[in-house]
Amino acid sequence: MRFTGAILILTACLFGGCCAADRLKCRAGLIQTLMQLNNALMTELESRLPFIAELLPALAERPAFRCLQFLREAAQHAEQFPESWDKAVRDDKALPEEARAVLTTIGQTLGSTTLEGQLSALRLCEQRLTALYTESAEYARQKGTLCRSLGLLGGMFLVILLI
Amino acid sequence: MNTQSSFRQALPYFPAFLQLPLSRIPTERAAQIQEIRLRIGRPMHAVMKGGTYTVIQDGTLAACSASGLTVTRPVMDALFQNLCRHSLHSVQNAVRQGFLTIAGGSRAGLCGTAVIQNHTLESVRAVSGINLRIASERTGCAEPLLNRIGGANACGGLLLAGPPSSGKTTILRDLARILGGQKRVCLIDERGELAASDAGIPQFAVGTQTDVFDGYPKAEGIAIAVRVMSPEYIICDEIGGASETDAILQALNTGVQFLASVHASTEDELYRRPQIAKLIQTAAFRTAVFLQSGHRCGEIASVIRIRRDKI
Repeated sequence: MRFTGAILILTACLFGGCCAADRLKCRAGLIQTLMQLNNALMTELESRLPFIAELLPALAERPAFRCLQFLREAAQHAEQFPESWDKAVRDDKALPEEARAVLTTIGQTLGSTTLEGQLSALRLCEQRLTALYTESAEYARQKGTLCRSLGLLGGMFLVILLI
Repeated sequence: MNTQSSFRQALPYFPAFLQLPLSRIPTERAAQIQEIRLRIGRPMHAVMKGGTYTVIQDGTLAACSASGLTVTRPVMDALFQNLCRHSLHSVQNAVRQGFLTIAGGSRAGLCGTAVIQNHTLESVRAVSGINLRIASERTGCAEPLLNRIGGANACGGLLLAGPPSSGKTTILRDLARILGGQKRVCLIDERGELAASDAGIPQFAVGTQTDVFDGYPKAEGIAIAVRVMSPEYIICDEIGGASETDAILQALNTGVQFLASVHASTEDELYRRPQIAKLIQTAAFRTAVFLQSGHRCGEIASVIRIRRDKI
């Protein structure tokens, strides 16, 4: 019985550590998806010159972007762009703060200037997102190991304490 | 689609500050509005057959000199963004040419500060004036013209001439509808005013056998139409450029007949235009119909057999 309890405590703490590490990885993954979205915006604008009210729903349908809640929301009210984009970005709690700032810039950029102007601005956003991703990925790598280790050590400590 | 429905379709493009008073204009008066004119720092005007009126907050149309709703910079910018559907990149080409066509076929003419790149007009910023010309479909308005010239077959190429706002586009549209019911017609709709296509679907009746080339520059549209659609008639609005002239002359070899509009108030003015003179000399057009303007717009002023010896 004690042995089973010890295993359960250890597993729970290790699981907690892995979850924390995964959250950090997800953050980096989300930023990577935003980079892909930015690229898709540039590509679509350059090749098809679509109206924003058509572009957003089309992008929201793509499997790669289905995880982006703000994009789904903005696409549903695409006719009210840019207000719908701003609101969707504000309301999406899963977005890191720095990424939210970049998305706000994207919302101000899309459709407001000539094609060249928009592409220039989106390239700057690409640089910002790339820097954010690099930082997040490195942070996830460093802290992820730490989280898993802390989870394991914490579990062992609890086991020793209780037993 | 009548003037009233085109007017109602244009309303959502206006910011709330302007939309509310416009929506309050009585229906019978709204049906007569030909243009809505907005200028920065000045009242909004409605242009009708009887004259120009200032739009008041409660929807009343007052004398032109009356003070009314002043169009401010934020309001003008919001209207411009709405007309662009918040997608300036999609309509950049049209903006460069100074106009935007909206749902319902109405056309917004733009003026402001030019953005010049490499010595060419690239775009416009700080829009200072918008002239929203309300589209009107007058089914049957081309029938008197066709009766007078003895039918499209008899005209040997038709030039529809008149000053601005004389009804040329409205009549061309109805000509497309009538001819397109019997023959293969290609409509070269460079500005999107003739058919007012939305996602490829014409919003005006343009004939069951009419193929619409929406947004095509006239020269390219004519060349492609002749190559792939084997039209019996080609209809286009406002010809006068050198590339259009060359395209028309090339197309004549296939036996297609042209019906086109041109800016000219008198016969002499027509002959003085170099590109039109070139077309006349090659017998591309044999009949010219001049339209009245002002409160008699759309009415035929005169029909002439074009004379090559007058060039």
